[in-house]
Amino acid sequence: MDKKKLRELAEGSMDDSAIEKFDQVVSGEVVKTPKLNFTAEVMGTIQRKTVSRMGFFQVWSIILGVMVAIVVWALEGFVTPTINLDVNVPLLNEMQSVDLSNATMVFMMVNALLVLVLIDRWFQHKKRTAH
Amino acid sequence: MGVLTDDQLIDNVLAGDQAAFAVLVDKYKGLAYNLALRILRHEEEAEEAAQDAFIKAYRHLSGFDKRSKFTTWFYRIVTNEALSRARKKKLQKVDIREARYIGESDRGLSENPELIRAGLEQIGEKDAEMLTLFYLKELSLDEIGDMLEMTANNVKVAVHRARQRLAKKMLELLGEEVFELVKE
Repeated sequence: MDKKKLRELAEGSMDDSAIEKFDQVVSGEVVKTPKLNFTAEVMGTIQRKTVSRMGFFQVWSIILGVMVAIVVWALEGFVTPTINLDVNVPLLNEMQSVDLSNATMVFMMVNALLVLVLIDRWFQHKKRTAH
Repeated sequence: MGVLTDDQLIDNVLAGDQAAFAVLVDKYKGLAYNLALRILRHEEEAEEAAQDAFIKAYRHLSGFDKRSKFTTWFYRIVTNEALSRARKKKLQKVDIREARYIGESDRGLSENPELIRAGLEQIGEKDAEMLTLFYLKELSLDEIGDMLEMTANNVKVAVHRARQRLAKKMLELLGEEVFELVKE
């Protein structure tokens, strides 16, 4: 390509074959190729993130399990040393019952909040993977 | 099995087939990388921006409603990613006037890539983007038009004008003395 052709192009009077040649020369500079393992790197990152998200859900599952245990305990589903206290120190037992009742309220509220967060997370995950 | 369309690939990805997304990445990595490179003007940054754009697209794929083409939606993700990186890193644009496009004597235009690069830097973002999308040859004029909200005909005109402006800019950059360099 000579300067005359370049000037013709700048002035808009260049023929198609010359434009084609110009495109050929310029496109080599305009278009670059990403590195060879580009796709593999993207897919690797996506897989790593998916695994870490799974880990996140496992953590939540454990938290849920602990919460269920706490709720069951709070609802006096577990065997407690109440019988012994009844026999030996009735007053202490009475006070502990009051404490237990307050603790139950707090636990229930915290649990309800955590369950809501968990449901929200699950809903978002479901939405992401929905077809 | 024939070549799947973008929408079919997206359906497969959403059904849990990650390999289908690899096909999309392979198909549009050139587009993503070159768009990011045009904005960031830094190869490594552009590569990272393009990769992050694909990861964002994967994460938000269920939100893609298919009313527009995938390329149109993805183009926005790439440009937003690249622009936000450019803002964060405050990348300094190369001072074109200092670019060493003037080489040894009797180099032809095709052996003077610095001149072409310098010209591209100076013709403005929109023209450079238009030429990038056109020269990629991965997209039809209609697809480019959809991405840039133009008709295919207007894309054709815009490419022609961008090409003209590039030629003018290259002539300006060459000047009288260097003008001889474009001789074959």
